[in-house]
Amino acid sequence: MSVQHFHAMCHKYRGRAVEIRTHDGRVHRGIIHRVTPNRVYLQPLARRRNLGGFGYGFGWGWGWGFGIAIGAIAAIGLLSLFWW
Amino acid sequence: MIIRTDKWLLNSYDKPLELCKQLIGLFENATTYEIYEYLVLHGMYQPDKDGKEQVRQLKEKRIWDIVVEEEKKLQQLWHGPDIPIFIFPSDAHNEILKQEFNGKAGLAFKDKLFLFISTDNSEMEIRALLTHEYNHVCRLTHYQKAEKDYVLLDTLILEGLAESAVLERFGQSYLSHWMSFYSEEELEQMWRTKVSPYIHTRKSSIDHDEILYGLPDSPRMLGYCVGYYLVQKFIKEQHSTVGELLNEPSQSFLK
Repeated sequence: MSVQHFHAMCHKYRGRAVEIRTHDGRVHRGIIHRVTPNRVYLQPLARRRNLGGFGYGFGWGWGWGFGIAIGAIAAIGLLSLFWW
Repeated sequence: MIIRTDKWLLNSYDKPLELCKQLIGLFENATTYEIYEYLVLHGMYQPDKDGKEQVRQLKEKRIWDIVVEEEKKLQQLWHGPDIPIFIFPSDAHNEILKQEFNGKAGLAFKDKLFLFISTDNSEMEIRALLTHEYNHVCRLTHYQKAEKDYVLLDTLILEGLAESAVLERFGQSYLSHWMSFYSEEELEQMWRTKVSPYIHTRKSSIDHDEILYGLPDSPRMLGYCVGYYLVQKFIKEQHSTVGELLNEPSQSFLK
């Protein structure tokens, strides 16, 4: 499926809980809170695990801004209530 | 000790989970998946169709050689440990990373260090980034307090020392741009009202990160800026250098 297709789906599902699979094998679950021409931003359903260390200013605290490249999406679906 | 991740990337760029499998022994009780997610959260690349070109350009710019050279100098300067350093491309599509950080990021632990670099970064920017991150490694080594016991004050001082190290070695123009967000008067006021009541907040708490990054409603990069302010004030009063302060207890910076 094309980037345009996934872009349209992200728009359609804004504000809803989704599961997005990316080509690198990851599964992202969260509520879509922002869609830009090439990225979709999810509000995570659960806080990610903190593995420690100290960053350069970009990092953990920017978690809300963590986006997925729309070009990297392999599949997207709505999450059922069962998941959250 | 630089790890030749350029070779890893040539073979496994498209399969970052496979690549992160090689890091599993360095993280306690974390899966490959959790490691990759965590590194992405700190600026690591997500595979891209032009990505191999990005790797080729980083190789052409001799990034791995520059880091080896700079690490040797820093190790001598601060009597620092020999830890593995991993270099990966940064996330080229992350707008925040590009706009706020010129596409570069890093992540330092007591026993390992990660650099996430864009093809747009200059040699000096990379040296400054390594200086910042490797200074964390040295602070964590010389100051006898385990990361798990860190509270906000420890993080403020650690971050302040790292940017002070960049100032000492490369001058004002290579400081992170948020260091110029506020005047000294504003920083003093922010320290008194917004930061000092929370200095005992544990590193594992959400409040710790919200103050450090200035999220969601506090001044941007609050903790980073106040930490630098506190360390600079101390350095000027004591006429000392960053190297002399690596084992200084965090509490001393408040006297």
